[in-house]
Amino acid sequence: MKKKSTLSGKRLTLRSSGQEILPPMLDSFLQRIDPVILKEQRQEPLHALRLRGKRLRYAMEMYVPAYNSPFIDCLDSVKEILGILGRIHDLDINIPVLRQHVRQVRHFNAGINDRALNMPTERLRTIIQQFEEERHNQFLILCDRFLQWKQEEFRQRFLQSIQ
Amino acid sequence: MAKPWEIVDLDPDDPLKVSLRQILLGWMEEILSYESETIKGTDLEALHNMRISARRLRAILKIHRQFFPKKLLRRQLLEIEKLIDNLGLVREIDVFLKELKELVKELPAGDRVALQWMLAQQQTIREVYRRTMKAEIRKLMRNGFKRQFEEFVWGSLR
Repeated sequence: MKKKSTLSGKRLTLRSSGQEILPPMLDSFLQRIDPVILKEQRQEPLHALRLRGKRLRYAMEMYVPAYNSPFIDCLDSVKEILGILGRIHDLDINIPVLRQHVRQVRHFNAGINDRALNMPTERLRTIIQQFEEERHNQFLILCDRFLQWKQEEFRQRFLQSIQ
Repeated sequence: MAKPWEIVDLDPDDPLKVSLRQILLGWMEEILSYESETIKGTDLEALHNMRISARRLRAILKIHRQFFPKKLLRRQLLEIEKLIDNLGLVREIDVFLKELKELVKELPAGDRVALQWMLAQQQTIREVYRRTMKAEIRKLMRNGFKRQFEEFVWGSLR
C-alpha cells in the first residue's frame, strides 16, 4: 500500500511542517533500535536502522534554519549514531572482501610448488580479526549511546526542540 | 561530511512552498558545485560531498512528494538516483582503498605482498567504476540536468 503523505492541508511554513514531518521519522528510527541491540551480528536490522537514520538526518538538516540550538544538539546526536552505524557498515562490507582475498591467496599458493614463493596470509587474518574486534567495540559504543538516549529521554528532548 | 549549504534569505515562516523551492534550488547548485572536482578525481571528499548532497535532495523530494506531479517527480528521482548509485560505487571503493593503504603502510615489507595484490585489484575496479561514473555525469549534464530540475521545481512550487 502506498504511504500517505504526513503533511496536513493547513497553511504550512517550514517551521510548522517540521512538527508534522519529523516526529514520525524519529519514531520510525527509534522503533528499529531494539532489533539491532538484541542481535549483534545481524546486518539487516542494522541496515534498516541506518537507512531510517539517514533519512531523519537529511530531513533534520533541512529544518536547521527553523529551530534553535536544542534541535542542533539533537541533530548532532543523530549524526554521532550514524557515524557509528556507518563504521559498522563499512566493516561489514570489508571483512567479507578480506576473507575472500585470503581464499584467493591460498588458491594462488596452492598452485605454486616452491613454498618460498608463497604469499603469507597470517597478516591478513590478523587484520580480519582486528576488524571483527573493532566491529564488536563499535557495537558496544552504539548500545551505550542508545542507553544514554533512553536515560536522557531523547525523544522528549527532540519533540520539545521543534515546538 | 560537509554540512548542507546555508540558504541565504530563507525565512522559516514563509509558506513552505517558497522555502522548499529555495532549498531545492540551492541544494541542486551545491551538487553541481562538486562536479568538476569529482570528475577530476583528485579530491575524494568532493565525490563524497556530491553524493551526500544528492541524497539529501532525494530525501527532501520524497518527503514533500505531495507538492509534485507524480510522473515528473519520478523522472527527477530516477536521474538523481542514477547519479547517487554511480557515485556510491566509487565511494565505497575509495573508503576501502584508503583503509587498505593505511594497513599496507603499517606492515613490514615482507608481509605486504598479499595486501598490495588486493590494493591493485581494488584500484582496477575503481577505475572501471570511475569511467562509468564520469560518463554518467557528463550524460546528465548534456541532457540538461540542472535546467530540467529548475523547471520542475518552479513549475511545481508556484
